[in-house]
Amino acid sequence: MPHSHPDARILLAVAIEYLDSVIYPGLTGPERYRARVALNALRIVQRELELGPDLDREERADLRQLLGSGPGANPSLEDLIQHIEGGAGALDEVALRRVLRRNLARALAINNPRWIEPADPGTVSRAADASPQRSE
Amino acid sequence: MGVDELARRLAEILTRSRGAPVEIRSLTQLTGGAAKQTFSFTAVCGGRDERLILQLCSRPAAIVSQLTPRLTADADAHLMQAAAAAGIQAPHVVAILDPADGLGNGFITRFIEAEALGRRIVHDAAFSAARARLTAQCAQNLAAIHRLPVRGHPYLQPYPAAAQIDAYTRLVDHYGARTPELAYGLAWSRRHAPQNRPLCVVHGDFRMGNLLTDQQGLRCVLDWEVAHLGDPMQDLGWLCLRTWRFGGRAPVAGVGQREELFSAYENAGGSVDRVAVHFWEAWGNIKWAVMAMRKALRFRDGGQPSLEECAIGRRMEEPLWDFLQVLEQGIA
Repeated sequence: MPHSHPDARILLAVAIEYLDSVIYPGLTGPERYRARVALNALRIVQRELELGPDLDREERADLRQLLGSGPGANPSLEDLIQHIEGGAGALDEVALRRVLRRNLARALAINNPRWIEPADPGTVSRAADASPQRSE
Repeated sequence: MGVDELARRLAEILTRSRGAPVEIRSLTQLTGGAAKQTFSFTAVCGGRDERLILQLCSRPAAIVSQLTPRLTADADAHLMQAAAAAGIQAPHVVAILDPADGLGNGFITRFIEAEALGRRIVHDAAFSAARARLTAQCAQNLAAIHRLPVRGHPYLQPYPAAAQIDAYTRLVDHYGARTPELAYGLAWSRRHAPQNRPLCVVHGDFRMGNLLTDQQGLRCVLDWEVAHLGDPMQDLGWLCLRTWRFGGRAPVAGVGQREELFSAYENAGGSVDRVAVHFWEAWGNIKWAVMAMRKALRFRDGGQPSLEECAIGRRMEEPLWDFLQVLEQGIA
C-alpha cells in the first residue's frame, strides 16, 4: 500500500472542512439537507478511521474476558452469537449484557456519539470501564 | 409520466367522479419512493378550490424484502374511510383510483394544513399547546382504532409477535447480518413474546412522524398501509420508541409521559397490559434496528446504495442500545 502524503485522516479532515465551511453554508432546501447527511457520513468515516483499531482491541479483550481466556484463545463475535443462541453453554446474563452494551457503545462512538447520555440507566462510562469488572 | 400528463389524467378522473368539469393546478411531487409517491394539487370545480393529495402505489417489492404485509391502495383507502367514519382522525378519502384510469393503484385524500415533521412538532415553541394535548389525542385515536370491528376488514392479516420475529430473523439471515446484539434481541423477543393476546385492528406505524399536527393539536394520523391484526399494545409500545422522540425528552412521542398515555387510553375504553407494552417497546427497537440494517444493505438485491439509506443504516445501533435500556428500565 502506498505511503502517500498527507495521511488519509488529514486528507479527509481537510475535505470535510472545505465542504462544511465553504460549500454547505451556500446551500438551501433539499440540497442543504442532503449535504448535511453527506457531511455526517464523512464524519462517521473519520471517527471510524480514528477509533477503529483501538475499538477492535477492546472488543477482542471483552470477548476473551467473557468467553474464555486459555492460552491461544481467540473467541470471535461468531462464538458469542453461538452462546447467545444457546449452542455453546449458558452465559451469565449480567456479564453478557455488559459486553453487548460495550459493543454498542463502541459502534455509537463511531456512528453517533451523542446517542449515549451520561444519565442513561445502565450506562458504563468508558473511563470507569478501563479495567472491566464482573459485577455492575 | 410527466407532470402535465398526470394532471390531465387527474382532471379526467375527478371530472368523471364529480360530474362537472375539474381543472388541476399546482401539481407538485412531495415524496417519491420505491413503494409510493405523493403529490399535492388543487382541484378547481364550480368556482371552488380544493387542495388534495394524490398517493400512487407501485407494485410491492419482492417477498424477501417485504417485512410486513402491506395493504393495497384499495384496502388502505377502505380502512381509512372506516376509521374516519368511527371518529378517528384518519385522512379523508376523496377518490380511489381505478387502474382503468391509467395511473395504477392509489387514492386521493383531502390536504390538511398542518406539520408532519417530528422535529418541529417536538421542539418548536409554536407547538407548545399542541404538545400538551397530543398524548391524550393519540390515546383516544388508538383506543378507537383498536375497537374497529375486525370483521369489516377481511384484507387485514394477522401478524402476531411470533410471526414478526420469524420474518425479521429471516431478513437478518438473508443479508448475513447477524450480530451478537441482534441475536440477543431476537432471542429475548422469542422468549418474551406475550401469549394469548387479543387480535385487534392495529395501525402498525403509529408514531411521531406520522402525526399531522397543527398549533391546536393532532389533525390527522397518516400512513395506514401496514395496518394489520394483532396485539393493540404494539401501537402503544411503538409510540414510545426513543427513535421516534426526535430528540424530545419525554417517552411518548417525545412529548408525553407513559402514565398519561395509559390513563387516557383506558378512559377512552382501552385496556392496558403493561407487561405487553414493555415487550412491544423492546421488540419494536429490534424491528427498527433490522429495518435500518435492511436500508443499508438493500442495494445488494439490485440497485445502488443511496445517501439517505446508507445514513439510516449507520443508525442500527441506536435502537439496539435503546433495547437494552428498555430491559434495564423494566416494566413501566
